[in-house]
Amino acid sequence: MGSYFLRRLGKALVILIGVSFLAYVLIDLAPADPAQVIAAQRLGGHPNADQVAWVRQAYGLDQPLLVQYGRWAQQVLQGNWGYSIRTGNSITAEIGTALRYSLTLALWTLSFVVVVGVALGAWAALRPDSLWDQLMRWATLIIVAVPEFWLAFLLILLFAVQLGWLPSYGAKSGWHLILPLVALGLGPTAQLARLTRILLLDELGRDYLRTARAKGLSARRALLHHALPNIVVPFITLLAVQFSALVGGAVIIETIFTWPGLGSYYITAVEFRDIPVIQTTVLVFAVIISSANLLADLSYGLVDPRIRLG
Amino acid sequence: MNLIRKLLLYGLLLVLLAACVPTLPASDTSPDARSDADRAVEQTLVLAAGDSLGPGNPHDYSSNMALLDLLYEPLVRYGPDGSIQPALAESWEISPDGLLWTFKLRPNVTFHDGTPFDAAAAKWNLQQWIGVEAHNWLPTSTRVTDIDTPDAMTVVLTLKEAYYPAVQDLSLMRPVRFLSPTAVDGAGNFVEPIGTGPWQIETLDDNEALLVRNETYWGAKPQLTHVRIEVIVDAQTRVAALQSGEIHVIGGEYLGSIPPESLPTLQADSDLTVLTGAGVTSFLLTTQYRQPPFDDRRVRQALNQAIDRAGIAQAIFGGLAEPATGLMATALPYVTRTDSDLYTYDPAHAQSLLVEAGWTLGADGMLTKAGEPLAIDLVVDQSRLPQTAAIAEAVQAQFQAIGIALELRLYDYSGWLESYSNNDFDLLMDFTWGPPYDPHTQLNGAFHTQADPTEVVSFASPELDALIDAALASTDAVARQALYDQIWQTVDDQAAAIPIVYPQRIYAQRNEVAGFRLGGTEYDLAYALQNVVIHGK
Repeated sequence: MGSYFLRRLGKALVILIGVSFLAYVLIDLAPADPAQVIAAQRLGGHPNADQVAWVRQAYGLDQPLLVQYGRWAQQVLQGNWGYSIRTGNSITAEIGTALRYSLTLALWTLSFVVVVGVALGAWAALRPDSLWDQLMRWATLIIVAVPEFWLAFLLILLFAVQLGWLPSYGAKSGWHLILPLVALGLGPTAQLARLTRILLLDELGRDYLRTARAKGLSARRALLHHALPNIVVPFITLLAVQFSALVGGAVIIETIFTWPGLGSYYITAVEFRDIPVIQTTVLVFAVIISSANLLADLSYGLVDPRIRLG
Repeated sequence: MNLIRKLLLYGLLLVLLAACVPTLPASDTSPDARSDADRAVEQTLVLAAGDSLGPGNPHDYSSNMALLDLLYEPLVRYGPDGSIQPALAESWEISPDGLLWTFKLRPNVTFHDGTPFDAAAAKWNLQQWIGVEAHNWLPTSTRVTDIDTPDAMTVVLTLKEAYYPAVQDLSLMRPVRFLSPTAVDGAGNFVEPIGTGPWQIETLDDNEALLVRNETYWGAKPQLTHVRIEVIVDAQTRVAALQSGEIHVIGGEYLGSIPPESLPTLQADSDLTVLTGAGVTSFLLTTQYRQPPFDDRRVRQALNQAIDRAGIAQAIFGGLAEPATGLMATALPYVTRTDSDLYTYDPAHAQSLLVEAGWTLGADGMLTKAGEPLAIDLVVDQSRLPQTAAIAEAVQAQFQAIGIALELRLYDYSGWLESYSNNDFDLLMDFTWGPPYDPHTQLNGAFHTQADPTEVVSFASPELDALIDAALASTDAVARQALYDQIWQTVDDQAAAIPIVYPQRIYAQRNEVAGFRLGGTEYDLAYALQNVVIHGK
C-alpha cells in the first residue's frame, strides 16, 4: 500500500504540473489580449495603446509564455502565491476564504445528499414497485431533469419572497446556507436515491441474502447490515466525483446566492484575466480533485477487504 | 467490514464536517449594547450592489463608485442640473487665458479621522494622479504642468493649454477624490478608507459595507444614521431581495442595474415604487467610416434612417428609454439639436439612398452591387449590456426589411474588446458614458483624429477636429456653445454615428423609503440619500 500511495502521489504531481501549464496556455489562446482586458477594467473604458503597453509591462505579460510560467511556478514553490491583479490582495488569503465557503457548502450539501439520498433509496428498495416506490422514481426523475438555477429561483421565490422564512442571498449565518444547499443538493440526492435503490434491489436478490431471509433474517436487518455495506464502493466513487463538482462547479448557485466560494472567485478572475488568481485557483481545483480521487481509491481497501491496493 | 474500520470511516467524516462548521462567520446576533432610545432614532438603509465593493481606495479603479461617493468628495461637484457646484473648493477662478485655475478651499473641513483638509492635503491628492501614466486617460492628467499652494487654503493648477472640461474632470470619482494623507502607509500604499464625505466606514469587506453618518460633516447631514451596502451578484436575486424586504433600494449603473425583464414584476408589486430619470447615455452603432461601403455618407445616412428607434424603445425597454434624436441626450451640457431628419424612421428613403449609392434591389428584396450582396456584420457585447443583444436583433430585422443582410456577432466583453481593438467589425455596438464625462470625452475620444492611427474612431474629419479642439480650448461659454452647435451640425450632416436610444436611469425602492432622489450622475449616491428617511418599520 505504501508504494501504491507513492506512485499515486507521483502521478498526481505530474497532473498538477500539466494542469497548471495548460491553464497558462489556455489564457494565451483565449480571445482578447489579457493586457487589454486588464487595462480596460482597471481604467474603466477603452484603453489606448500606451495604457495597454503599460499594463503589459507592469504585469510581465511582455515575457514569453514559458518565462511567465517559470516565474509563477518558482513563486508558488517558494510558498508565495502572489497578489491579485484585480484587488491587489494576497491570493493566499483570498483563496483561503473562498475555499472555506466552498468546503462549507460542499460538505454540508454532500451530507444532505448522502443522508437523504440513501434513506430514500433504501426506503423505496424495501417496497419495490409499490405506489411509494413509483412516486419516488418519478419525483427523482423530474428533479434530476430540472436545471439547478431554475430550482434556485423557485426556492428564492417561495422561501424568501413569499414566505419570508429564509434569506435570499449572502453567507452570514447557517440560515443563509439552507437555500443554496437545497438547490445544489436536490439533483445529486435524486441521483443517489435512484442508484441506491437499484444497487440494493440487486443485492437483496442475491443468493446469500435469500438464504439468510429464509433462515429468518428480517428485511430491515438484511438491508442495513448486509446489503447496504456491500454497495458502499460504487457510492464512494460517486461521492468523490460529486465532492469535486461541488467544490469547483457550484459557480451558478454561488452567483445566484452571492455565496463567496471558489467557483465565483474563479469566474470573476477569468472575466478580468487576473492571471495569477486563475493559475492558483486552477491549481487548487486540481489538488482538490486529485486528492478526492486518491482518498476514494484508498478507502476502497478500507471498506472492502477484498480489494487490495498495490 | 469490522467495527474498527467502520468507526474510522465515520470518525473521518465527522472530523471533516466539524472542521467546516465554525468557519461560517458569526451572524448579527451579538448582544446590542445600545439603549432602546438610541435604537429608536437609528435608521439603516440597505442597498444592493452587483459587484464586489473593493477596498475603498479613491485613487485607483478597484472600488465601487457609489460606495466611494459616500466617503469621498471632489473639489467641485457635477450638480443634478449639469452645473458645476462648489464642494471642497468654496470658489474657483480661471484666468482669462484659461491656463491658471485658482481654487479657494473650504475652511474647517476635516477628514473622518480629524486630519484637517488643507492645501497640503489637496496637493498630495492631486499628485497621486496628475501626470501619472496610469491615469493619463484623463485629459487633465496630461495638461496640468504645476500644482501650487500659495497659502494653506489655496491651490493653483497651471495648465499647458486651455481646457475647459478640466472642471468636469475634477468632479469625477476615480482617481480624483480626496483621501486623507493619513490613510496610507510609509511607502504610500493605501491602508484604510478615510475621506471627508457625509458617511464614514464602520466595517468594509468585499461583500458588505456598513457606513455610519459623519457627525462632523461640514455640509447638510443626512437623516439616516447608517447605510449598509450588500453585494448581490445576480440581478434576479437583487429583485427578489427587494421584494422580500431584505433590501430597500436597487438599481443604478454603478450600484447594480435592474434587468429590463424584471420591470413589470417590480411595477406590479404594491410594496414597491419604480423611479426613473431621463436617459443621459446613448446606445449607438459605430461604423468603419474609412472603408467601403461606410465611406459613402449616403450609406451611413441610410443605416440611420432604417432603424425604428421608437419601436426599439417600446419593445425592448418597455418605454423606459428615449428614442435617439441626436448623438447625445440634450440633458448633457452644450448638447443642442439641429433640424436634421437623419434620425427619423424612413425605410423607403433609406433604401432609395442605397440605390442612389449604386446598389440594385433584387427580386428577393435584397440589395446587390456588381453581384455582391450588401452584407455587413455587427459586433455586440452581451455580457455587460444584456439589452444590446435584443437591440441588435431588432436592427437586423429592420435592415433586412430594406435589403441589407446583417450578421450578428454576439460576444462577451473580452471578445468584444478583441474585435474593437483590432478594428475587426463593420458595425460595433457601443455606449457613451454620460455625465460628467460627456459630451467632451466622447467627442475627443471617438470623433476626433487620434495620434495612434490604429485606434478606433467612430468618425473624424479635419473640420470636426478643428471644431472640437476649438471648443475644448475655449474660455468663453457663449463662443463655446456656438462651436458645439457647429459640432452637432457636422455630426448630423456627416451621419457620423448611429445612435439608437438613451436608456433611462432606473431604480426601485420599497415604499417605506421616502426622499430618495437621483443626482446628476449615476454615482451621486450621497446626494441621492441626503434626505432619505424610512417610515413604518
